[in-house]
Amino acid sequence: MLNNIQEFYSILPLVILGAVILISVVIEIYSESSEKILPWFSILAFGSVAVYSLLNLEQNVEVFLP
Amino acid sequence: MVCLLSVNYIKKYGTYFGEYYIIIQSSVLGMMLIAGARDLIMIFLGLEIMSISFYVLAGFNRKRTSSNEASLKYFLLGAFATGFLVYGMALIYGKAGSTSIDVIAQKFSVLNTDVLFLVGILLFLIGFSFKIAAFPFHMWVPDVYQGSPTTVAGLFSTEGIAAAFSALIIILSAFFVSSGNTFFKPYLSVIAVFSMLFGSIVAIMQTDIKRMLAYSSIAHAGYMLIGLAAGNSDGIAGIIFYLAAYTFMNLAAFGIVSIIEGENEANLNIDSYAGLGSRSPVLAGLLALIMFALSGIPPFAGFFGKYYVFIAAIKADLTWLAIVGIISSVISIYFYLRIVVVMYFKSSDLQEKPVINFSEMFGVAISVVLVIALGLAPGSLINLITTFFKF
Repeated sequence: MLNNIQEFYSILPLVILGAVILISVVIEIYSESSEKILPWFSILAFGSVAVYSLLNLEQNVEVFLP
Repeated sequence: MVCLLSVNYIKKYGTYFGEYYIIIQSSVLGMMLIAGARDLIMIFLGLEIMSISFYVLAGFNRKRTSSNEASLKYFLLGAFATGFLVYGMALIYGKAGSTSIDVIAQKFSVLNTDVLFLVGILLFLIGFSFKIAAFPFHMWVPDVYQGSPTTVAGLFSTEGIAAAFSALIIILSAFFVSSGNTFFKPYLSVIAVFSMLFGSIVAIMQTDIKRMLAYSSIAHAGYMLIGLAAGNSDGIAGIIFYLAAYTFMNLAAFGIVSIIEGENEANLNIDSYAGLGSRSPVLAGLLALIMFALSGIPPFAGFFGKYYVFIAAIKADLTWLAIVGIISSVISIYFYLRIVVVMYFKSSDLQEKPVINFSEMFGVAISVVLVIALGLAPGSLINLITTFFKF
């Protein structure tokens, strides 16, 4: 499991994407125009995750090491 | 990019649902889990999240029989390949005593004489050979790409293959360090040769542009396998560069096909591209540029992708593999440039101009700009790869 906060920052893109999926499901359930919102929300989410990953390339992502 | 291309595309088939984007998000989560994994179980988890999302996306045009067929075919063959993968993981775990890639790599020099361990590795490679669309595990590719929505086919051919290659790079580069990198050369070299030649030769005979791009994906998987067969740091860097270049080239190609595609899968035959140069000069010009890039003509990114993997093969004493790659590239020029000839030198009675929307054009434009940029400055990406990815 995570030993320190540094490992959390290294898996932050995955955490963000997971949160984005949950928010998207909520939008899909409760919004009548979700098909208009979700494409741009997805693009924004992917773009921010991509920029974060590019700015933190020196960190190796190690997921759930025993 | 796929989301940008899909905004107007999915309206054509009456599948204008928000779930489409949620499933794409799930597939990307799976891909990121694969790329960041250091454990076999995490690789499997990421692979299944990605694969199940893909099975659903393949059948998203649920009112079309071809889409349903593509989804079912992909699911059945994908599940079968996953069986190989999991059995291989079980054998590896049984012998190594751990699913951690680092532990397995440390014990590799001891275990590489054990038959069960080697069978496990082979089954693992077979499972992933299916995912990267390598010969002889490529049978699902043409039918799935042809039947799926075009933007989804673009996702499969780029990100799906990239995620599978990232898993192979993680596993094999760890083993290369410990084993001296000659162990997997025979298997990888053979499937690379057959993938390149089969993909290039059969693509020549295709009349449907999506099937042609599917067979070209098989050939490109073969080129990337050359880098894995080389088993050196140049090969791995070459594969990562190739994946980046190939992703943007193929996304642009499928994006342009999706723009030109009419309702009810119209305009997917290569002959329907006749006269596109006069009907829609911008689209025709972009598609011509992408076809040049895919065929490996300089100064576009496709040339440098092939250059780096071929150089890696030569440095690893696999010059014969590089020669086969060059021969396959020459063969592939025929079917890529055939599109250009049809667009500019064949006339058509069709006067209908494709309707181009901002989001689609923006997505295609970004891809084309990156293809040109990677071709003009390939060293920048290669330096980035070799600086941050330590093998």
